[in-house]
Amino acid sequence: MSPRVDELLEAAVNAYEDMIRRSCDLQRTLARALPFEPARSLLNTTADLTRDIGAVQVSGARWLLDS
Amino acid sequence: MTALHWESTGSGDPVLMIMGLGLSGGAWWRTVPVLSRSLRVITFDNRGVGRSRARLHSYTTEAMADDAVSVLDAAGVDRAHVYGFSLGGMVAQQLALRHADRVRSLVLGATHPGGPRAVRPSADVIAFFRRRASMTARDAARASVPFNYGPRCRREHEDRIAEDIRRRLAHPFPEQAYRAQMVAAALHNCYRRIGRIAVPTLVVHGRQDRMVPVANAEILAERIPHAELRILDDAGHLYSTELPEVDEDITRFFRGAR
Repeated sequence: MSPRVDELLEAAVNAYEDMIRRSCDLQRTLARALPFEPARSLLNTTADLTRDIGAVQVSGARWLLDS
Repeated sequence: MTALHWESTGSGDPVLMIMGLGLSGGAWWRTVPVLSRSLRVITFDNRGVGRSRARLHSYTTEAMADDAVSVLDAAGVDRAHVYGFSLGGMVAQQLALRHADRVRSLVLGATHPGGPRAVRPSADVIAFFRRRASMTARDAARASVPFNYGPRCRREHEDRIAEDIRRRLAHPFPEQAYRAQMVAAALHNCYRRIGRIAVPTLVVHGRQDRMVPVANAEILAERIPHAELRILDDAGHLYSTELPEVDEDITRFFRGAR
């Protein structure tokens, strides 16, 4: 893989990671704003799942880039 | 409901300690008395281990780093020195990358950066981890001795090893939590990003380490800008049991990193 393509792919992975993070932050902010359960817990759980599924995807993508 | 057990000892600049695979915060028992002479030392049990409870386990080092930040929040600490050991060192890398504003300096003990460039342990160590799932906690602790300690420690400090095991067995953990942490370690991959760590960093590793080969410490020290590398010739994975004086050096590093 050429260095230029490698850089572009890395930038894409980084951008995707930022997007996951912003999505998690948004879900947690909404959860804090909600005055009732179980909606609050549910939203916090989906934020955790978004983070963990995203982390697995990003780790796998970086693994391929490093191989 | 997730509830993380944490403890604070001593006063001074705060240090957050993150322990490795399957071990509770109590496993820092040799190090806490030394560091807490001049620092506020915060230890905690990772999710699902020791006295911490969790509805869901953590399957990524990212999730474990977020847990560590919630411990800082609960302790009222904005920014701390961070000392991560083994799997805890992987979590510490994530913490420094995901929450850079919360980390003042970093000690990475007996750990690796992850990804395909990390140096894997030998086949007998991997075979041990596979067998480990079917062993009792006591048998696993005994069977891990040749992998956790260097030859000199096994020869000269059997008493220290016995005390480590006694304390480890005091805080058993569900097998599922152990497996989740194994998954987190396997998925960990900070290799490309550790160059972004901008805080003072000390990498500590035993040259005889069989769990995490010492070449990983060289990779970390090479890729993290201005990182210091301390290789302990006579030590294996659990170096603070073998060479307790290293805790004095780590205290000096934290006190110098302001």
